[in-house]
Amino acid sequence: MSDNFLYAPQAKQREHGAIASAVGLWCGLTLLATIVVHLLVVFALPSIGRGVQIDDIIPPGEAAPRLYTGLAGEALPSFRYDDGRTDSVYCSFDLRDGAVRVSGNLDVPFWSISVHTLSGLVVGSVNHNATSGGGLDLLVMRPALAVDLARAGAQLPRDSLVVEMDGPLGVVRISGLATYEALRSRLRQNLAQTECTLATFTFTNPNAGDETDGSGTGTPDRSGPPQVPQPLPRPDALTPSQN
Amino acid sequence: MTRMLWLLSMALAAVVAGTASAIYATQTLRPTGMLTIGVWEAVRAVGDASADPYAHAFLASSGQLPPGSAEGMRFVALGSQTNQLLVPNCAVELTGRVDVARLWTLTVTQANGAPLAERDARQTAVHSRDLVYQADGSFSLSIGPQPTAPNALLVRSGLPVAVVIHVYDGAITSLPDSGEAALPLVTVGTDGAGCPA
Repeated sequence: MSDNFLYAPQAKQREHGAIASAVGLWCGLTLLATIVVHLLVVFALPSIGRGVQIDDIIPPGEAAPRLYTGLAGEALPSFRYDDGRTDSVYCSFDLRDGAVRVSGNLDVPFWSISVHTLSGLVVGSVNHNATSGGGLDLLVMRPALAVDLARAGAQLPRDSLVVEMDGPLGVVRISGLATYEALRSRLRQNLAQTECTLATFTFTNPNAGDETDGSGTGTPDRSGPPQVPQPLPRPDALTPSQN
Repeated sequence: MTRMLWLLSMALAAVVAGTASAIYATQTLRPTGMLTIGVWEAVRAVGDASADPYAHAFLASSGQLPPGSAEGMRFVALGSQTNQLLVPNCAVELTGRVDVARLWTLTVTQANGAPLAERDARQTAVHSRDLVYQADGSFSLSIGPQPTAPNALLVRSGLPVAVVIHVYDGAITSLPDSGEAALPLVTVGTDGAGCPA
């Protein structure tokens, strides 16, 4: 018996070796595949997990930009760990259409604006201390558009948030802080009057020195400098009558 | 047939282990860039574009919309100095000061960050200007069904809560990693059923 154990036949040894190498190969390949699956899930989670709250703000298929105030029966989501003394409204945007202009008159001790991707990442923020004169009037746009507009001599608001983000869709959160509980209702009314629209621009022709007014929905005037991109309405943004 | 089983078992094990480890890593482990001061944790650099993929996933699945750098910072406490859960019926007390900012708010939420039900609390948040301070600038605030401190949030709940401090000073984002700044100490009382002895 002990002889068999100590001096196993070569065939049996080969069999054990084959099993061991098969198990080793299985473990190695499984580990490799596990790492791949792990990374795939980690990178996919922002897309999969997007949303539960942000989809409440921007129901799929809604045209942007649009302000969501929670009034008129709209659901206004409450995000986790939100401040109980602030109130917020949300503006959805699609940067394929051009720049978004957010303006309003917030009469509160502290207000701020943050720009988020649909997975919640912050790509830009500003508070009342950082804006010209403490007023709320700023543009949210991509760097390329900011450069084109500057080259074309567009007259821009003094404040802008130039954001770099992966996708064109996102949401702007406009928040105000109610110093006293009694100010909450006034704050809500204040926030609800915020405007969130596609930006229009006025161009100063550097050669002629005259001005051309922009018109339309967020597009610079056709008579403006030709190098400025002229955003076209997306097919999904067209109304049935336009189609 | 054996080879097929071999491949199938490998794929199954990889999918199960890969998914489970990814969910564990993004939901349980803290993302990099967290700032800890005592029992308070802030999600610094988690929300911005420089965040790593794990922070992205953590954020997307946590249901938070983190504050931007111009909006200050959000500190969350889920336990006391002695690692007890913050159960309002056991009288949670905060003492000390918020050195890191002049303008701040304090909010009580459910432990997962969702707002408290209205039947559980009449008021769930205070502003730094609402509080009564000691001569040295410190304050004490109780969270529970009965006020036990000069400042109180009347919350009746046998379930753990989270206490969230939002600070609104821009300079907060330049805080060092260690706890050089001061935030209130959090203690939990021992009286009452289910409270730590």
